[in-house]
Amino acid sequence: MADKKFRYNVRDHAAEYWERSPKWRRVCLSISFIAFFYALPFLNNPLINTPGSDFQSVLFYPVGMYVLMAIGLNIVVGKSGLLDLGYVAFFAIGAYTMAILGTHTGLNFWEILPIGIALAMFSGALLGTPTLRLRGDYLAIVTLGFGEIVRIVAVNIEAIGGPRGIAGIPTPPDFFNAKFTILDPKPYYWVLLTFTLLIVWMVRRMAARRPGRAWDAIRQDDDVAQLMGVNTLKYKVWAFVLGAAVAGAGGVLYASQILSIVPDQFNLNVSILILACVVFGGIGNLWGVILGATLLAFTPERIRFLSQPRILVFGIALVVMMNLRPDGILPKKKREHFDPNWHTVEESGEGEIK
Amino acid sequence: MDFALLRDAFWGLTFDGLALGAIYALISLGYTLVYGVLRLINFAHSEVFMIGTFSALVASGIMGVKVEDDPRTGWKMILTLLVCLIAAMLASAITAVLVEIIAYRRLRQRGATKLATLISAIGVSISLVEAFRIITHSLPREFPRIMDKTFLLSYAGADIRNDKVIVIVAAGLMMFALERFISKSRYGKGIRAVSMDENTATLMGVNINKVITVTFLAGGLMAGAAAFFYILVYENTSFKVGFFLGISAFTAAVLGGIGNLKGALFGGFVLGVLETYTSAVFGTAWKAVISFSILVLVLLIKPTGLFGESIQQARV
Amino acid sequence: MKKIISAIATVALVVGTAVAVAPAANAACSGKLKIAYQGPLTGPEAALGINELNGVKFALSKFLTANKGANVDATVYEVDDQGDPAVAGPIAPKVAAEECVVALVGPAYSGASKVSLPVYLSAGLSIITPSATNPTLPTFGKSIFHRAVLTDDYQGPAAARLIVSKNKNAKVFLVNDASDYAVGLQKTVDITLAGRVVGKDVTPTGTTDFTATIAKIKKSKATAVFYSGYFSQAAVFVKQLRDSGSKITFASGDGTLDDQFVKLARKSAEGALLTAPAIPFETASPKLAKEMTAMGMKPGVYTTESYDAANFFLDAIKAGNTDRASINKYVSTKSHKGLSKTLKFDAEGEVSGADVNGFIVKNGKLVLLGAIK
Repeated sequence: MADKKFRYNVRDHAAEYWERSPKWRRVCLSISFIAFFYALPFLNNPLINTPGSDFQSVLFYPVGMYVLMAIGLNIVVGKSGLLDLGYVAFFAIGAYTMAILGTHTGLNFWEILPIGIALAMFSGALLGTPTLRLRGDYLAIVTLGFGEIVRIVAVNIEAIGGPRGIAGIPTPPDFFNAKFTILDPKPYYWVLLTFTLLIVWMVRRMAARRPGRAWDAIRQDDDVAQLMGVNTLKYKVWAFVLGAAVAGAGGVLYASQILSIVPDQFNLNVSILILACVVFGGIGNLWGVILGATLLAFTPERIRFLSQPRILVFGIALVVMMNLRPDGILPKKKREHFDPNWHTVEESGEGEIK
Repeated sequence: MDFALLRDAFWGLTFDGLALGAIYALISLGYTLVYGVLRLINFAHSEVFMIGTFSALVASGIMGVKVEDDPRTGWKMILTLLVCLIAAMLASAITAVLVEIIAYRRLRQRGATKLATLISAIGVSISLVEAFRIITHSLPREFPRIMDKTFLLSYAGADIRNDKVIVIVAAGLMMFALERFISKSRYGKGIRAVSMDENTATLMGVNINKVITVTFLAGGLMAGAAAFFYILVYENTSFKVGFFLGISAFTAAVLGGIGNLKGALFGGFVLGVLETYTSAVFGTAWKAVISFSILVLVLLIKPTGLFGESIQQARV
Repeated sequence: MKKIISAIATVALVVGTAVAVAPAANAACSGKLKIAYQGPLTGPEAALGINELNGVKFALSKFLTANKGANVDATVYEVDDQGDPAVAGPIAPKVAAEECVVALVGPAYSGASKVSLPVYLSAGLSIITPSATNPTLPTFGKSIFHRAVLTDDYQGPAAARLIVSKNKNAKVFLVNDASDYAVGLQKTVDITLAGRVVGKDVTPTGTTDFTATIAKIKKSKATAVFYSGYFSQAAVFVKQLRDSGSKITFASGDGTLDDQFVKLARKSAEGALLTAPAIPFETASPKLAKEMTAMGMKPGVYTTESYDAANFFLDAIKAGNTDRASINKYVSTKSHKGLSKTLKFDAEGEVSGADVNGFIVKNGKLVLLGAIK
């Protein structure tokens, strides 16, 4: 593309800057960056405040949750190229695990968390193993079906609440001095932030190693990858299972905050929205995805004052944004255009801000 | 699980399922055509259908039919029905083409990823649904009964109703016409060429933009017809009518083999009947679950759907 | 040099963030008192929310016309939860923090209520819900919870009695739309009807084709069908039922009691039996209904309850109560003669002493049959 040199690629320049920075600068930047996010709930800026809804609550859900889930879905869609339209199912499974075990057994949040994650992972494996052989768009409809199936099953089975859902979900136990109540979303937000940071770290490590390379290969050309000896099914299922684990963890935390869940809130729209976050931000690109998710989750809350046409504006914004920036806000640099003057950082992404 | 019900009411359920399936088939043609040519899941197609239903409604109003009126007869009835049908088809076709121009064309020409186009499609879908929700104040609308519904005959326990017969027959005719168009006409050949290999088609002088516009047009016309038939049988519509029908129609397209016209037809009818059967046996609440499960099973055995993908071999 | 600059920059950033904070001081209300309404104002359930909002708006406008100097905001504080608990979650704390909101009509939906009530409880914000019928809500809302509508425990049995009164040997088929409201209502109908129930089916919201359900009904040889759900789908269902040739009695609950039902189903609605622990606005006061329509708002299901709830709060304000605690005390102890019923809440916040009314659709109109014995 002829206009490449005129386009200011934020991501690549940021990556370059990072590369050039000596260790102490990187540490400073990292710390202030992370500190900023932890301090976010205290921010009271009219530009980013959400009229009509509580800023701190919004930070937790939908913003924080969507960011977490977008990162999870990014592993599936962005890194591995598997179109998953039913991602909300794993979120629902996590939430229901917390709801059912929380109300029927004496286990607390921290004990239920691994169970919820395990169940989500198991479902991911269960769904993935037979279906991941299918070609791209077939996988889309099958995963969509799975998402709907989970919701409909939850609605129809009285034993897990039926359409009324489950209420009275216990909150996590006090952590040092932080009390988890419905009134104060801050401790929840910080737990969520910690999860997110952990997962970001984990994903980046995996991306740099064999799983990451396998996913890249699968995304670019499944058949070639197979020919080269990559066990594509295994890695695809891995991606799926990891994505499911992330969503499951989010679900468990979400249920413990909202105290009551109904099956109809885990619907197709949520899956689609998270997918939109991933694409909007720049597929495969971790920071893009985070930014995309933040924007897409935050904007409807920010424009609440618009009342009636709010969602219409959102839909139009989606179309406009995709048409203006189809590669997302922070796109991956294009491999196909080899510019000999460009100092390429190692192709697998080692050391880059993705 | 009530298999006895299925056995006793078999023919009635089959007939009703076919009428539903005819509507699914017409809608799924739109999905399959666009996919065959662009390899894109046209999420906005369900709204193309929805707009068709509202156009039929508006047309009936223009024809002077009021909801409280008695059904018409004879010439007047046929004329009114035809006008509504044409209105629906035109409106859907125009909407489909506009969607292509506004939401997809730019992305396609810039070589954007399919996912980006998908999100754009989703944005269009959301916008259209919301726009109509605001217009209709979230309330459903009824369609006047222009044609009196009578039972033509009763066969083996099945009550054959005139409107459903019309839907099945007319849908069949339309699909036949479409198939002729695809296999015989110049644009039809263009569509098949592009779906086979876009680059070669361009080299051979096929005007890609025109072909794609015609594809959307054809899909829109079919969806518009489906919209008219839907509103004829069910006599109501709302801003959310596209959603559930869209998912079922899309499932039907995949079941038959997305990109394959014959598959879409077959998939539509099969799904319509299947949904009716499973509702009877398992209860309407489980309908979607069973349908999707069957889809998964079919895909496991035949990963490209019942008929595989082959719009290029559109000959039935 | 660079190191020092960067270190300062880092510290500045962190400190700057902390300073950017100034949490808004929690001021007491300095302006007019506000009545809030919470319910679905956008999204697929919006029709219901708008009905109720209109009731509140109308009550407010009439109050201000009669009490010109009152320190009450002429605009209703609208809280749009889309009937979705996920949406209600982040909104509730905001409403609770809004000092000038001293009373809330709503939430309309039980699911959203469950999530919002604990927040409102801790903020002492009094609420009267005109339509959330889940019987467990008082445990969430405790002292601030009040319900202007009878729960399913009353309506269900009354509906069952109505059906049986028309035909002693009624055989009833039950259908519900899998919503929170419908499942609860059907349960109580089921229990009262006991041995007369010959079949059930669930048709989730969004079902357009009822072929299988109707086949089931025919097979069961039921003489009546009770549909639990809302008017839009009820209309679709009853039309298909009649078009299939079936002449059995069609009965439904208050979710169907709306002019829209008759409008949508037309001839098929004829003879339908409907119940409601309420009176439609037009029946309760044709005069007020006309006034309301002239203002551009059309009354519908639950408008009467919202109107009454809003007026009860306005009574409290008129009596001199201007803060949440005293308003809550007022509505918890006093009574208010409303259009739908006399609102006198018991210890649980439930209303009693009201009748469940029966209606029949005759000649395209909803006709009140009277209280069901």
